[in-house]
Amino acid sequence: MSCREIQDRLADNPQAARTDPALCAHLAACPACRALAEKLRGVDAALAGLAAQPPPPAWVVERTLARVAAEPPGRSRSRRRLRWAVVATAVSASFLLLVSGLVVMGPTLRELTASSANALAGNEEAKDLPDHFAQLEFKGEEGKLRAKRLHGHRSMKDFSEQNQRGEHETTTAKLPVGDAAVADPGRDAPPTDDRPEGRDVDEDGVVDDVVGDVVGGVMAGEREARLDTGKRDEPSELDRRLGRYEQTRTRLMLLEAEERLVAGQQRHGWLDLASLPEGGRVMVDGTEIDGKDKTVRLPPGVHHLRLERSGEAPVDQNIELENGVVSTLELVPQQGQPGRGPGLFDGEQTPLDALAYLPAQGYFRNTYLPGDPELAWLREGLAEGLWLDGRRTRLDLLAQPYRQPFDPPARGGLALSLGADRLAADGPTRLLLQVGLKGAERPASRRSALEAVLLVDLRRLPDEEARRALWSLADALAEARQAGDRFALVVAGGPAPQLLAPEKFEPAAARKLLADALLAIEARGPTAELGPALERAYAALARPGAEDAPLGSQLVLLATAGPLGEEREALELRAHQAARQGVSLSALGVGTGAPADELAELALAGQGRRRLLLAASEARGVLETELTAGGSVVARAVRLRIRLSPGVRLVSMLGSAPLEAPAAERVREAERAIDQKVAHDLGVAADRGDDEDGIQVVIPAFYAGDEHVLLLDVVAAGPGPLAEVRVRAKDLVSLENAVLTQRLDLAPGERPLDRRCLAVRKNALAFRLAGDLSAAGERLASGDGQGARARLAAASARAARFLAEHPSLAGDPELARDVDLLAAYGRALDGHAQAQAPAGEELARSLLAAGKSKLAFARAR
Amino acid sequence: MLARHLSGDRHAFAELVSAYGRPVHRFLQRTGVRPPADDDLFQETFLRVHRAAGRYDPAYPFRVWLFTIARRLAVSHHRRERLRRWLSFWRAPAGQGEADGPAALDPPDPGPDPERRLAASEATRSLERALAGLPEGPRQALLLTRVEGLSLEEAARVLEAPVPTVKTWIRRGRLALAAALPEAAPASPPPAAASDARGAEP
Repeated sequence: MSCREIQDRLADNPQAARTDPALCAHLAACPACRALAEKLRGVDAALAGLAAQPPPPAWVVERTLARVAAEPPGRSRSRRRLRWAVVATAVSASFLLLVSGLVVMGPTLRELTASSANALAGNEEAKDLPDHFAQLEFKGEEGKLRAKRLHGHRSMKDFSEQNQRGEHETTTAKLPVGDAAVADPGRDAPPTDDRPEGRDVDEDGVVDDVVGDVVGGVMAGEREARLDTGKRDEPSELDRRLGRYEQTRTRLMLLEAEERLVAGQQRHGWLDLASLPEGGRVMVDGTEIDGKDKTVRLPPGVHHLRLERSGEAPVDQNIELENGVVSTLELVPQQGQPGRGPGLFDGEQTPLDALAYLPAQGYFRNTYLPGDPELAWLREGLAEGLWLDGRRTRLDLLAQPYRQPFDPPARGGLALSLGADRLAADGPTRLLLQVGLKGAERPASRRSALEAVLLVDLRRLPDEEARRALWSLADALAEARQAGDRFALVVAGGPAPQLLAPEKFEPAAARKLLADALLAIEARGPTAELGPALERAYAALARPGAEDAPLGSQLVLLATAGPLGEEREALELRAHQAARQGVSLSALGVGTGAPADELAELALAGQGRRRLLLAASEARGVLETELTAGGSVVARAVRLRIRLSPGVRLVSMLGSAPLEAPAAERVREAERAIDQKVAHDLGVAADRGDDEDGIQVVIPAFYAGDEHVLLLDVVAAGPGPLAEVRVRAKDLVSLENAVLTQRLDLAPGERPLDRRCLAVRKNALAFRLAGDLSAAGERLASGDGQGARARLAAASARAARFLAEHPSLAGDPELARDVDLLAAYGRALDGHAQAQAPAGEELARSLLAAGKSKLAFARAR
Repeated sequence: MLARHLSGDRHAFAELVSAYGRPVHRFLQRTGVRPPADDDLFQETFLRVHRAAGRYDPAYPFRVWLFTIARRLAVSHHRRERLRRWLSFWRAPAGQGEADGPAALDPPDPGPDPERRLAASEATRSLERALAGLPEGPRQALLLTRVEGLSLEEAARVLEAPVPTVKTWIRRGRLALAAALPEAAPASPPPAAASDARGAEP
């Protein structure tokens, strides 16, 4: 043994110096270790001496006892705080989405006590139950309690169902461990979409009154809530970002409960076979599995699976099951069969007549969103790259969008390009239509005077780094002020929104306001409302003559470090209304706790931009980009109308979807407002107001140098006209109403694919590969390494098939790079199998970043 | 005692505070809670015990539950303290904040208040100082196991950490304290090996 090992053993147990012969022998020969042994014994003796300390002052004890005497025992703060409900069950430590005891509550459920939580915590109630059951107690005015088995998404089975009526009726259900409960609040319950509020852990260590948080998760069409046990398994950044923190947080406590309840039982995991193709034999470890039983319970460990289907080579695969975890299986395509990989279309094997078609008219969701892409966040922490093949590599940077053969506009701000993935066909054909937009390059110019309000959301106390970033943002705004600017600050979170008016807006005053707000919030607790603060921000911009302010010169910049909460829809509506009046709203996520998708929606509604600020040092740059962004708009109110010719049917618009009537109405209103404003400011005649036939997409603003691609999956009956696309825009380069039109026909017979056709197909491949990479990243992030591997293998097979079907692209450097990228990620995943968890998160993040990068056509601005 | 308290025995809780009050107060102080907050947290700890008494699981040692409550309260307290310090940092005039920042964010001096310090011996004060310089994990692990007498497993429950982690904390804590404490008298070799004491290090 070396001295180091000896010293560690001594530090583990200083008394061993006298009792362990090996140590004694070493100490006899080593003065240094001998001295350390003496010191360590002295340390222990001195520590024991610390126990001799005076008792707490008598008055403290008396005060404590007086407080105790004034309160009846057994009440806890959280029980008083319990608003709606709670529940629990014992639960398997399953796949993250399925893992926990669940509960839903609605306003009709006045009270739902959580004695089940006591059961989970191993208290009295649980002891009366068989050791593999947990108890769920449900008390409420009205509602329906339904418990379901959760052995995987696809194999949920009703387990029990009980209706209850009447005041304070109590229902008790017993659930097997490994199942979870979903309580249905009833049809009349209004939608609930609370995000967890980050409640404090109950210091008494007992999961007594558990406050349930309703989240908008969907499970078989129902809303569900996850149990917030208070005992947190701290989520990773990635989990937070993906909105998975509700699940990870519940895991630890429930696992513990399960440990107690199933003590002594055999452990097992589940294998979900629901995703396997029909019509074959599935063998698990040599035994055929009954086709009806899609979820198989097996001991933890590695199991061998074989799928045999007539006419095909059998597929063999190993899968490792963890105790208490539902593993989903996806078969990895066999090597050397590139033609077997998935293609560019969803449901490509489905006969054309059996496809589901969308009406080719009405408003579709705009997918062009300027501002920082989520990439910035995903790339954070990847600076050193992944450890691969003996060196660090930034794999995510290898994923790039394909270069588009779009010509820049000859004049004006916008160019239109219409193409398809083939030129000719003789009969009914499924094909891809592509609409491309390209903005003119426009040199940056000095920005015009701005009126801006920075609205800082402090409803949830941000972490230290986010606070620094918020402070720096306020500083940066104060410093960015130029002649003619009017800047103000509004802080949300305290009892009432606080305003720092434009005439008082200085860095020191801004810091003081923020610090005061934080103190007040800490003392009295945050308010849950952001709406009043937003109103205050808009009010600060209101002034006589504000309606004449140039378009884009009035802005609210909402900076938040957390989710928007249940006000989200109301905020979007208000942002939309204000944008119609000419005040745009940009959403700025600070730190990693702000959900990018919520901010994107808010920014779209407010006709602003979404940005992410990850560190205080970036504040100045982000703010400067935001304030000058208005200067790089080349077109406003860009309206695309895509009219499919008779006989051409729409399967889908990739990445988009039809808008519901209220959302469509908002798009119309926003368009008309911009139309009026541009007419007022720039003298470009107002020409909007009517709907058009065909598919309509409205982009509020298009920025210089950007490209945007819309891909439509359509079925044409045969040769002939395919589509006509018209783009109308308020062109800010030529200062006129621009109209761009293109038509496309499908010729009869066969024609070789030209480079534009190949570009369309490459774009479709990029869309699919982006989905594959992102899905692999998400699976890995949720601990499903096998699923991630399967999805990557599918992506490789997809790329291989694409190359096999398009021999002319064999030397295409962009495709070759993607093939290499997928192979490299495959190797990284193999390496991860033996690596530790952090490496997995890094790899997952890298995969997600790569997925985003494939479609990042818009510049970060 | 808790069962008697629940059944209405008016003296039971006083006995409980008398039996466990000193360790809890001591633990709070040495985890860095300064006066007068230590007294407030002491009261809050027992209030929580009182409020949650009906849900206490007798399968677990009472001390583990009690120290878990105290420790969590201390953690929340330190979190609030850091916020206050941080706020004072940001309230500082521009330019001054950066220099003051890291120091202001350091954990508070966890030693006892001055009056109690006077009563302590020089050796104890050295130990207290060295203890205060330890990271939170090793410090609390040593306090729970060496001062309060909890087993490794019990300490792990209180600290909500795996047993091996707690074991590592204890080892690191001991080594750090040994390095920080003043030199003791020269160690005398074990009698059986005295003649070999000058041998080279193996």
